Amino acid sequence: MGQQPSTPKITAQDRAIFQMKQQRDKLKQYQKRLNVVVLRQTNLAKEALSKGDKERALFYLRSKKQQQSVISKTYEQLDNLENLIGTIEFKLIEKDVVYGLTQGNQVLQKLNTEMSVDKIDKLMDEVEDERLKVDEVSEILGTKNALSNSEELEVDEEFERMDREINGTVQLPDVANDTHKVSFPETPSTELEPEEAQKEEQQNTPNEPLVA
Amino acid sequence: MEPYEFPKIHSFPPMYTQQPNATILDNQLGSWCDIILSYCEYYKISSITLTGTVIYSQFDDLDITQLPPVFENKAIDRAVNDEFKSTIFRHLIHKSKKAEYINAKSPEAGVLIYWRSLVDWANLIHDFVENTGQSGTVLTVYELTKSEDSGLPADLKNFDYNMLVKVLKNVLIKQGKAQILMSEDDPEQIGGVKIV
Amino acid sequence: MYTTGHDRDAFSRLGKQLSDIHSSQLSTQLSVFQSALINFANEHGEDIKQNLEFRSKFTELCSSVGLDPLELSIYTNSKDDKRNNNFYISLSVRIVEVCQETRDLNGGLISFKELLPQLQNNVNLHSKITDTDVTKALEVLARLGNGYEVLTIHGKNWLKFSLASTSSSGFTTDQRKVYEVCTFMGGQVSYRLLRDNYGWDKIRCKTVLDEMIMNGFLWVDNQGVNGELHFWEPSWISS
Repeated sequence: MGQQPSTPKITAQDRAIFQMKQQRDKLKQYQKRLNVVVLRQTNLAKEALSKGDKERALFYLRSKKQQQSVISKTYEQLDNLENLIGTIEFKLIEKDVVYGLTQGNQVLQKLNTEMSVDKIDKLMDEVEDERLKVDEVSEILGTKNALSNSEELEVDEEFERMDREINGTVQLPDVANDTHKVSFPETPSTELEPEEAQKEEQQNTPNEPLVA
Repeated sequence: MEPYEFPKIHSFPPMYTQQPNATILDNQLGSWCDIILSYCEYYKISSITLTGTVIYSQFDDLDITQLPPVFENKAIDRAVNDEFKSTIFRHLIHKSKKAEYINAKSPEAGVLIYWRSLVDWANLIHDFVENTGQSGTVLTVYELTKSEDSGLPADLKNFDYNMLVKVLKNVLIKQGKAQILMSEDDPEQIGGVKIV
Repeated sequence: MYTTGHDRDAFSRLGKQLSDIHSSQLSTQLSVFQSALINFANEHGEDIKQNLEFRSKFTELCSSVGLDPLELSIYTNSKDDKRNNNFYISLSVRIVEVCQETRDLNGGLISFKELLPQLQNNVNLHSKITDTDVTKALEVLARLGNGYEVLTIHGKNWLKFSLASTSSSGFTTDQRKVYEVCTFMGGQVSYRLLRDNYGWDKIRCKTVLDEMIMNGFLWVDNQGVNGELHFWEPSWISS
């Protein structure tokens, strides 16, 4: 941060663009000048006409027409130049992008070579070996971190007890509900109707026996 | 535009005579410097001759021959003589440090007036280039000062070439933010610049 | 490389913004505190005066927040109808300050008309300062030597002051007469005017005027009609 910042470098491309831009500026100035001339000639033509000098007026108008065609030509040239400048600038950016891509690709390749399958296999083998060694040592020292058979059995029993406590009571109604829900929609509608009607009858009878 | 309104002291007759008392003279010179700076800022004048003739204004539709002269007050029939004018400019250059000779070897070429400091001008230019996404591209001087279709801020419109040279050489290049290209037509003139 | 410069700019901008906010908050707090002190001094003026230890602590507090204890006594005493001695001492200090500030421009001669607004120019001071107040304050200064004196020229009061209080010559009668002509003539005087009004010869005129120019009481104007020299009193600029 403290050091003297380096000045931006002027590249060959910069020079090329600079040259074109200078040409473009000249064209712009030329256009400005011509516009002034055209304006003056229009005025002169008007003046001549008001004095009745038809010949002169025509001369000015002709000359004006000529200038105008020059102006439109300069516009074309200007357009070309601007396009060219634009294209070059765009190409330069593209070049930067390609450069960036190449760099990225190189880095990726380098990373990939470092991550070769053989190397990783070997690494994994080594890890496994080390793990085995640890187990071995633990066994020898009798500190193997596992439960005895009886302990395992006790765990299983406790699990079942818990399972019954929590899920046992809940499971039963669940099953009943399920069969109910599933069986109803599956039965054909024609058969269902009387059943439903019956149900309604059963519900209604205590209140309105007359209907039956 | 409305003509510049001079401060009251501009109508004080002894202002146009170099005062013999040193303390008073220092005061008088200070007042003159203030007048010149505010006059130049009002008309966007960047350079002026040692006799007070305006060389360049950024207002391109301003008739600089019609401006009220800074060293003269017709209402009270007073004017500063050339010798005293030089003294005033020396004060502005060396004491106030708000002006510089365009060419130190030939003072008669006139002085650049820094009603805005070179650093502030440099920031304006740098901000413009950055805000329009033109950092790192080559810009012609014409583009930077005259162009009508590049969104040039009003403050930079018709910026004085001599001032631009100072801003580039004394500030932006020193800060490592600019590199110049000489003009194809005139190798003595700066034609373009790359600003980052 | 380029972006670091960029970041640095952004950082310094942000930093400046933060410190600006900070300092404006601080100055608000400070002014609130100052006015609180003034109020306090107004209410407990007697206590402060009586209790020596209290007073020294209070003064210490005042100076630590940039409040001049002398000025404080202007604020606190100005409300009383009977403006006491402390008020005039404080006022005289302000007068000396104004005179020092303006000396380069007026050469040590200031009209009351110009002086009063500058004395008054004090946010916390509500009561109006009058010519009499200034005269009384100057009496306080007179005990320290006669560097300051009031001149009445053509019905208007002027304050004349000089640093070298030993040279008690001050404003001579002749110099006073020159200023009298100035008041008549729109701020200016010339050899001819002095000769016509007072019948002074050229040498007398020159001696008086040169002396006044040297002291900064007059500005020279050499572009009068027929090349006649004019001498202007600088208070014209601010009048």
